[in-house]
Amino acid sequence: MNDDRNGKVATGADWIIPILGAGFATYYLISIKDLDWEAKVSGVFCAVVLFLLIGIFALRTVLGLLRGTHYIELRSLYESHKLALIRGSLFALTVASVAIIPWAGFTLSTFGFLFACFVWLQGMSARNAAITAGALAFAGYVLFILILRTSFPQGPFERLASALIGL
Amino acid sequence: MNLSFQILSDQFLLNFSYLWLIVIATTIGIIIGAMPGFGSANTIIMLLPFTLAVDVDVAMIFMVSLFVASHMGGGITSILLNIPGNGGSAATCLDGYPMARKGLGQQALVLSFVASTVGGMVTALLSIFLLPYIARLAFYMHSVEMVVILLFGITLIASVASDNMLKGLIAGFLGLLIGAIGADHIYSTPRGTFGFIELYDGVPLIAVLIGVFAISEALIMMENSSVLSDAGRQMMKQAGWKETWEGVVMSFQRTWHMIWTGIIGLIIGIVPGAGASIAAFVAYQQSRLYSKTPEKYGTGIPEGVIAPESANNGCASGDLIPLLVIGVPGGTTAAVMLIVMTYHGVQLGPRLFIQNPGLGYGVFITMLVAYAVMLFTTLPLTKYVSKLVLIPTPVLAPIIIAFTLVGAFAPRGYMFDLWLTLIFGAIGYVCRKTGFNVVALLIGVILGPMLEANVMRALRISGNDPWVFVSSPVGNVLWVALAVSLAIPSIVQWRRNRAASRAATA
Amino acid sequence: MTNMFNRRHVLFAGAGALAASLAPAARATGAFPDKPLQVLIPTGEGGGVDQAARAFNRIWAKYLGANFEYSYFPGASGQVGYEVFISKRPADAYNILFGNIGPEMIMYATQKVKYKYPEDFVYLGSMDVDDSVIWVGSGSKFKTIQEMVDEGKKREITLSTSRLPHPSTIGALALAEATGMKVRMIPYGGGGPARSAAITGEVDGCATFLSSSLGLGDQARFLTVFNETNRAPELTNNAPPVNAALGTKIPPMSGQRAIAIHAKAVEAYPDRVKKLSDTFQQVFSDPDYKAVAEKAGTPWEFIQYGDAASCQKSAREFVELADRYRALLTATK
Repeated sequence: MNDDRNGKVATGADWIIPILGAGFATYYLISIKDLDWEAKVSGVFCAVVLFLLIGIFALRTVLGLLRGTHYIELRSLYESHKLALIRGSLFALTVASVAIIPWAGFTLSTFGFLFACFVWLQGMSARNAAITAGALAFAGYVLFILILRTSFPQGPFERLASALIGL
Repeated sequence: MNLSFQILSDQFLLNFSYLWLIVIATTIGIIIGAMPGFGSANTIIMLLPFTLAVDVDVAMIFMVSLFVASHMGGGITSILLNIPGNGGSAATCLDGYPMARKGLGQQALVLSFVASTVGGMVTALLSIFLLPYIARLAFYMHSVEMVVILLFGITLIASVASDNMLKGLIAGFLGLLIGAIGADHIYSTPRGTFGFIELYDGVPLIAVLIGVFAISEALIMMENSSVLSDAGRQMMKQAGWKETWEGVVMSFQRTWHMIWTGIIGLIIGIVPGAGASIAAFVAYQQSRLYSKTPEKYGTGIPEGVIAPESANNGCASGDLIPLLVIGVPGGTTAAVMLIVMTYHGVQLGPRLFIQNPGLGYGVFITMLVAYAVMLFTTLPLTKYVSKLVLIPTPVLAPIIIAFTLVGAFAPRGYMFDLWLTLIFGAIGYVCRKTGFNVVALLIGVILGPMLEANVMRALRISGNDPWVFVSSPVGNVLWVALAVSLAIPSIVQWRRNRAASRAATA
Repeated sequence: MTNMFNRRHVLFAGAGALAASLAPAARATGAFPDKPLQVLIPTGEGGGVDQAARAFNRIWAKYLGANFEYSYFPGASGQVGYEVFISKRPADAYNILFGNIGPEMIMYATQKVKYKYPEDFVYLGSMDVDDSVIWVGSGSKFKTIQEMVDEGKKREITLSTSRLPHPSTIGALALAEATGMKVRMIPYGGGGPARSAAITGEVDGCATFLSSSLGLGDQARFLTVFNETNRAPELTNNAPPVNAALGTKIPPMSGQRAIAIHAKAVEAYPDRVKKLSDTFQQVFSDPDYKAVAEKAGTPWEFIQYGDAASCQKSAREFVELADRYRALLTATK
């Protein structure tokens, strides 16, 4: 966002973090309002400083806009529509893969996620994508489930595997 | 403590006879160290059936090798992918990843391995010969002193964010406030948890780490087809053994740097509860401070890799000292080692060095041998491992996401942590794209809770007298050092400006 | 979250039936237990409960005929572990919790928890009784508890503790109330740092459970024990019981490591729970148990079986004690 263009500073997308920060700080202060000072003091300190910093930031931005040294744009957040689409799909696929873990288990959801990404983002052929994603998901299963015994919800694959090999 | 040549040579022989075990343990350690979310403590717990079944010497050789190796492995993913394997290697990202992008990934890996080895070995040697004195340090490092040491680390927020101070400070204080989520340090009352029981113990560091580093990095890297710059890509393709040797030379040109940053790690590690993450950040901050070219930190310079890695491994020696000498574990891994030792009927604490000095000193001998072994197993790998970055990003990014999410889940086994990681991934992405420094945020999250705990404890001990913070001689020396370290950059700048203006007028 | 988990279990059950049909016949006989028990520990790995539980289960496994798998949910003085156990672990008697009645009932009484005792969980049996103590570092000027009390009338004495909701904290506060000394408890968030603080002289002394401090050897000088007798005098430089030394009437401040189970499991699977209780009790007469318990750092004098009724009595006593000292133990006024 500091990419000065013709000496001007773009602003807009960089309000997101201060707004989130101010919102969280407000919530935090409410959540501790009934507590003893020892439980409160550091949170209050951080929140107050944060408000102060955000205040300065807001003031600077407003002054900048009034003086014409700042201009509003949101593009820097996503750069281009193509990139936004790619990132959006990657993040959406990630969210989807996490959402199905409780039903599909680690191995299947990882396979599905990698397969979709490889086909969609890299443009791999379905066959190659299936082989690569399958190998990676299976390696993950061996390493994380069999060896490291992480307690992921079991899916059809894990149950089938454990029924077959008795592990 | 009756140290004799006989004890040391016996221990060396014992360790050499178990060289195969050390090779296995260090390999496991490096792998789990490099994987975010997995650490030596969980691994040693999983392998308890083994360590309880074998002799106590063998168990210790195994556990100590694995423990130090996990400190060594953490830097690999920090350097190559900007994803720290654990809190202790978060600072390594600052310069390690820029090096990798320039095509110097192989050299950076070598730097990290050599610095880890030197940091680990020097502090292990110091521990062997100065153990009684080093152990006394714990008697001078109380809450007040820790407050100052933590402030050293926290001032790094301002340094890493120097290109946009206001946004950096906003990120840092937001991090501190996120770090203040969870039970307070005196009464264990939950604060700012949104009602989620999963946040009662604070925001899990690993979810933040994976979110702001791994997930957001994966999203960011999609803008290019490779994480490397074009020039870096060319360099990387031609890379061979020469680069590994270059890394070794680079490291030993900075031998003294590796030694003193390792000692910082050792000293911080001795304090119970203070861990590798503080050590690494403080060492980085100190390294930058005394550098002639502080402005180059963050652009990919060797010192920026050496300092955190050496300190991180020096901290491993420090962590074990209170366990051995006082009988109080300094961290989780040490606590698990304590289980194994008590199970084998070994009494830790001062009596260990009277009843079984071989075992006590043997721990450090194992460290020496393990580091030497790792140098031989890791250096040849750098050539191959560093090629990881040649994978095109549309393939690499999904793999990073899939496998680091496992790390976010593994430590606690909550689905909640996966969602939290995604939220922090989105926050990290927005921060990076809008100029809020994520390292500043992370420093707040990591160091904030420890700072709060120590401040509140010091106040409570003193009966809420704020003068307590300037009541200890050691603490006051540290305060002066802190003041100096804050002033030096401006003084240097002022002198430079004056010299420049003189040169201009002359 | 909860919703997701419920659905998951429904599906889990469906697919589980499918898997069971594929599995070897031995699994389908229905004898309890036919799979490992899931042990939830509401404190950290490597802590006192962890060590004691592992030692105990080594022998228990023999009688129960099943192994144990451990998970750790420390945080908020044990509250996280109990919340997870009650809300997220199925009440099938395969899931048990290893905890410590004293500290965790004080936590229950002083923190806002979402579960209810004894409606949501009960203690099935306890395995040892560990007394609260006050000790000082070897460099301390206090040689007896009387000296500490005397000094405490002139200035505030600082005592480290792992956390405020803890029997030893209540013991120290009760001592202060009875003698007029002033005491300030300093929580360190863990036993290790609390002990270290007393040894290195950051605080005047440490209030904690006896067994966790035994390994310290000469570095610790025990001043008093919060019970009617000192059951391990040779390990604690013969520190006097607090009431004998000072003429006070402070009740015993003990911790009892115990297993807890969902109250619903007791209703739904009485046979399973009976098997758990019976085999639990058998461990105490096993000669091997003495060896492993001592290896885990608990003196044999402390090992003592307590049945469900005695656990319940003890749990209620601690809730009452905590209510009395609530103002000093909580941040919500």
